[in-house]
Amino acid sequence: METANDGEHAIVFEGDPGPFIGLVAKNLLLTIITLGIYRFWAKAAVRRYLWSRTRVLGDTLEWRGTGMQLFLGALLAFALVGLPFVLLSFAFQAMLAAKNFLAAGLLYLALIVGLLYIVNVGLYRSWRYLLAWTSWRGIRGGMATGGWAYGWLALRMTLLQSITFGLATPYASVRLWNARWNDATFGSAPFRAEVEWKPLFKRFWPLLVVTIVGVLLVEGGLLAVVGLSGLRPQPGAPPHAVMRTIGLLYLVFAVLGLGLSLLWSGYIAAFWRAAIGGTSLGGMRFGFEANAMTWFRYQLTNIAIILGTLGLGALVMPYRHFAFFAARMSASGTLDTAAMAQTSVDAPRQGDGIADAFNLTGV
Amino acid sequence: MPSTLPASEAHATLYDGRSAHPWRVALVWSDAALTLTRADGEVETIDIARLARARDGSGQRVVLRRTDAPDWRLLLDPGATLPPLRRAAAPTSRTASIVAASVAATLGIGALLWLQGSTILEAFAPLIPRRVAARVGDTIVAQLGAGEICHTPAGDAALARLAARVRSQHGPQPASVAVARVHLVNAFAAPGGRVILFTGLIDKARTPEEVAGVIAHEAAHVALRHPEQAMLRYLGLSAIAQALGGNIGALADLALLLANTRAKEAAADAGAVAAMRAGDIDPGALADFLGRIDHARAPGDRIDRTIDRLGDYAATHPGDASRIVAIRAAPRAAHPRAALNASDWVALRSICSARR
Repeated sequence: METANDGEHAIVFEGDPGPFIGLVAKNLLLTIITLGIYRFWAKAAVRRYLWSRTRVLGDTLEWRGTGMQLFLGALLAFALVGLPFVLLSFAFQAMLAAKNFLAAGLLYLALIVGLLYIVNVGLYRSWRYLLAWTSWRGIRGGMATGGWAYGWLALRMTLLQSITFGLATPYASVRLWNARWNDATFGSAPFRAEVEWKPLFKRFWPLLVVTIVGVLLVEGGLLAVVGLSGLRPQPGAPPHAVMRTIGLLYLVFAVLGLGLSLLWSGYIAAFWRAAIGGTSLGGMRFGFEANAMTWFRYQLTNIAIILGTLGLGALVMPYRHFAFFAARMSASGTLDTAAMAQTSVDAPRQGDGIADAFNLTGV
Repeated sequence: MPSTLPASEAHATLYDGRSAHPWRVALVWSDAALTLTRADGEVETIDIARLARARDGSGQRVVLRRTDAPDWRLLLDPGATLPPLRRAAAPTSRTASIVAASVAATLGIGALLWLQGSTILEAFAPLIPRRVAARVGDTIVAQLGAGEICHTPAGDAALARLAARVRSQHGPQPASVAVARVHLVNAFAAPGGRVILFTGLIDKARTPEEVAGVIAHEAAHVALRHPEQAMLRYLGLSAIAQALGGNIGALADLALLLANTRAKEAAADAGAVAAMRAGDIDPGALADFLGRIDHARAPGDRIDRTIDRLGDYAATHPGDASRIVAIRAAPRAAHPRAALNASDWVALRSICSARR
């Protein structure tokens, strides 16, 4: 029996930006000279680094997956998903060209639904892959299924979200979170997720209303102001008048965008608090602390880093995500480590090719 | 717990891979084996040849793994001595060999495709059934927004006469030659042998001989099966390059494509020159036309970009003065005759003027 009563120190990230940037630079160079093929091994090296600097109850994680697995996963995804999809979308174009609109419409629907399904199955399998090759104290994790049922659930939730004009988003995301974490295990210990959607919904719907009303008001107001006042540039107006109008438009949209982002940051932070806080492993409960401002600042800094480095900064985002989440995560309760036996689930031999192809996994 | 361990120089924490329980153990090294003694008195002896250092730990502690038990981990206490392991897995040499192997494989495949890529495409292109190629071609024509083909009886007749003057010397002839209502100075040959000229090109041409030159160039692409090769490349090589190489793979593929396009354009120009001379049209007309659109071209249009990406379809590639020089260097037609009479030329120029 081990207690995680050291709370905030149960999960610690001890990375060092210097060596990590060195690793990323080496990866970038090797990826370029191998015409992109090295990126699978680069990804494995990044994971090995991040895992090995993350300490849970005093012991570091170990990433045991390999670049070769990711490479094989990409090959499989290409053969089983990518190629058929390219051929089918070509068939769709051919049907359009032949003016067979009924068949084209049906195929289009099937392609959209199929893609949505496959991407969600791929996401599930990428979590399975991540858990299966993560080792802590010699014990590995796993997911109970192959993700086929999860794909249908995700499809139903997407449908629900679209017919409720987004109102069902908190329900859908909580339902999916619970579904995947209740399938997850670490060793013989099951993860349990009992996140409630109602408290999140109470925060969500006013935001949705404010967003819609805010956008409508600002757009209507702009139209009125620009249309009725002297701000509308007259034909032959001096260039600075045009610039003033454009500048005003940008200013209004920037203020609106930032204001809405701040409001939504509050919801996103609340989602993570509720989701991580409602999840446990064995008798160990997790926690997460971040408020609207923390989340807003974090996202703004990320955008500034990426823009300021002309996109190269995207390569250090996995590091930032690890550091951000580890610093704000806590664990409490007890984990019976002596009773936590090795996982009985077979580890997949290939990586997460589908989710990887759509660049969906954060790390 | 440590007090119950036997006296030993070194201690460690053992994770046996069966449970997450940390076992404190005392270590005794010999030349051939490591003996672990647990606090509960259980003793285990491990062949030293089965031990190796685990890769890429945080570096704060030495971690050993067993080659015969992948989940087994031994975390040595700081300061514990470590005898030389026979199979010390050197992470650097492993990484180096992966890099070396993938660089060699990439360069090998790259060199093969660079040197023999067109041979592979040329060998497979004739195997595509014309029916399938035509389907794909029709789709590309529709995708380019070039679906609206202009027809007038007099214009169709003029176009047919012009195309007949520049028939390819060998290989398949174009399935059809048509004008599409698109205001771009461009033309292309689609898989299956459809040649499409844009109204912008007809408007830009000053003589029927210039249009004949463009048709001859596109007909040569058809005769050499370049559109079918481009189709194979697009669906095969490019798709693989992007799936495996990501953005950088796509860039490499584009570089290969551009290098290859140059050779194909030169071959199509040579075919056009031969066809024009056989049809008693001076090849210089094609050079005149290419020289003029070079200056007039405004890049960046979506349709132009699509045609450029498909590379091999395009008649009008920017900025290649060597093409014009090569065409001008060819012998002129021995007995040049007008490509079209005046009324045919008017009919062709007004093929898209009729109201829909």
